[in-house]
Amino acid sequence: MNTIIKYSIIYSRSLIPKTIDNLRSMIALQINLKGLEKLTLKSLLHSSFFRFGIGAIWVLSAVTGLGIILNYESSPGRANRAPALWPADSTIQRQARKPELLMFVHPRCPCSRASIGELNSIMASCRERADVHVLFIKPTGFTDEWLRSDLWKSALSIPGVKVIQDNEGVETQKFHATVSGQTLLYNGEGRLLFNGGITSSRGHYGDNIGRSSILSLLLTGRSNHNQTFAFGCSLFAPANSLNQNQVREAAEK
Amino acid sequence: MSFKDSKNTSALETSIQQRSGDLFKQRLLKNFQITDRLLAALMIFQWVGGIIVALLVSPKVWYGQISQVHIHVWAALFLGGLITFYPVFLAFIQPGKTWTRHAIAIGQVLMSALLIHLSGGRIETHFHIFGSLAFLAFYQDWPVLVSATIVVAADHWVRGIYWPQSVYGVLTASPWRWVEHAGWVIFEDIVLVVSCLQNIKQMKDIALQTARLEATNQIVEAKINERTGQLSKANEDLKKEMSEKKRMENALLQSEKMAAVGQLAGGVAHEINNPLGIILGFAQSVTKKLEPNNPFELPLKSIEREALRCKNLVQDLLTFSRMNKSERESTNLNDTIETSLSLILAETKIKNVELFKEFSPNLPNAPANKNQIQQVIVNLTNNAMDAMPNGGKLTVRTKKSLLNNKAAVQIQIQDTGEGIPKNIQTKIFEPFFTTKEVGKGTGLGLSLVYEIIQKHEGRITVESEIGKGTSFYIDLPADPAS
Repeated sequence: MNTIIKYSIIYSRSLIPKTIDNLRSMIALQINLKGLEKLTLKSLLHSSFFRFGIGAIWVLSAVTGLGIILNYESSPGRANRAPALWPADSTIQRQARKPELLMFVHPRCPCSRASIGELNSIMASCRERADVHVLFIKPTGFTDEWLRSDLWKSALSIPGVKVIQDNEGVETQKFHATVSGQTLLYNGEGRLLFNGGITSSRGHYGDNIGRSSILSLLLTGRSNHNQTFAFGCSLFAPANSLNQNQVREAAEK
Repeated sequence: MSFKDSKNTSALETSIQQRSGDLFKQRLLKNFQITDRLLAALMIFQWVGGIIVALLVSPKVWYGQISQVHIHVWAALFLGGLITFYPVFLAFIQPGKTWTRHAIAIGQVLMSALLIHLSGGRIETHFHIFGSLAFLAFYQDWPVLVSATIVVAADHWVRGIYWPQSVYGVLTASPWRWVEHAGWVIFEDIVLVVSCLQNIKQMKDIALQTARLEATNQIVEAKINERTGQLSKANEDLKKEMSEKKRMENALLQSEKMAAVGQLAGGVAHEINNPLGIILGFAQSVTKKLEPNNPFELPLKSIEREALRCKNLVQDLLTFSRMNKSERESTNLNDTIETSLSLILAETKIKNVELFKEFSPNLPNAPANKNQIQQVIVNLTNNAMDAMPNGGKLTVRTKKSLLNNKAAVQIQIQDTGEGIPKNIQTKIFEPFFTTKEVGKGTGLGLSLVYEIIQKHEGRITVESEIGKGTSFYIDLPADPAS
């Protein structure tokens, strides 16, 4: 304990007096603003004002920037309520009395790499406990090459996962899915057990409530959570923003 | 050990400690500056790397069929640039400063946070923090690690409060969970801090050893210089002694030579003087009695002239031989020289020689034989005028001087004549040595001067340069009574 106190004092002594000096210089600079003719760029660059004042602005700007990124990554997509019962018109073939896990993915969504990664993790623990489908949406006008992205290949490489090409998002719409990475779990009777994302934020790997809830449901049949936020790109463009020219250009790219 | 030795040892030890401190500070500053630049380069590399990662991993965000540039690309470009610019700028304009390395430490950890975001929070990217701490340990300045750790802990603490799912994967987390995360960083810090402290100790030891080595070198060098100085001085003394011995030997030789010549000349002159007087007397009386245009007039005049020359030579020889019998009295040399110069004044005008006199007004008297001193002055000034056939300047100076560390009087006779070649400067005082044409000089003038000065216990030296002129310096002991 004494050692910690000793080194804390040394650290404080090494930095705090400098900080006080810097503050004092800033105040002095404010007072001496009348003598601006003496202030040159060189003297300003080497002044405590520059070191500390600009340093403070720098730290605040960087923290603000990181905060904006963090806020963006923590903002979930707008997910709709999924059908409580398996849609009768769905063409996805279910195995009788086996839970069905569905994930809806935009093939070019960078955030969904983490969702596929988390699905892989679920499959490692409960491969035989559910029938798993990953639906990749393919809007009109886009090529197969566009569809078969690294996400497609990643999903395809997970043992036990069936990858489905969903032209124009017909199947996706039947399940009211709107956010890439959105995952639904239906039980053997076709009743909805879980709806949400399986990442903690946009594109972030690691422990999260969605994954642990699905694992819990598959392993024990119970979970404290049956809904989470889904983080990812929108599977469909907002209707009012859909411009045919934009769509054509994006498809060509 | 004496008290003085103990005092010297203590001063030396203080000096070594001071030098060791300076060396340590210099080495540490150099290390700070090198590490500043190294980490600045690393930060630029990371920035570029971050942009590439963003472009590869998340180039666009999609809304169904339409897309936009992903926020990660802008973040990598602008936020990464912002984080990088300030520390890199400081590293180049203020390398080695405390704030520079703390800014680099903070910037490096902020860059870790950005890269973790850009890589999608992959656990592998978290190793960037641990790698950064290892890089920061290059400074060997453990407070830098503390600054970096504080930023990491603060990041986890703030995110734990506002965005817990982004860091812990859950919506609600214990308010102390950040301590666990910071704890792993501190775990590495402990290893690095211990390493820093050990390295600092080693640097101090090396600085102390270097300072001791420098001090030893200085002592040895000082001793060598001291011994070299002593040897040089001994060598100089020996050279002076040998030179003085040589001079004394020469003087003795010259004196003996003079004595022998004087004795011989005295005897010869005495024997010649009487017959020569008869020859001259008869030649003069016969010449007076001759009628004008007598054919014997020319031969008789020649006999008279040559006899007179012989008489002068004999007179010189007699003077030479009678040197010991001269009597000396306290003499004002300025007056004596003035009288001597009045004898040659007419000749200076004929020979177009300007005469300058620079006499010291407070010149002490000297025990001297006035006639002999006049003879010396006349001889030397005549020689000077002979050396300036086309005219020139003749300067006679007197001043106080020292002779064998005793008060003396110096007479300088300086001409602007042809000068005396080096090889004959040592011979000019020898009897019968002359450079004048046959019949114009007896070769006894300067030897007579030399002899007179020797008898006066004085010294005569010559300085001459071909084409510029000659100076004779005569130093005579001053009269102690004056």
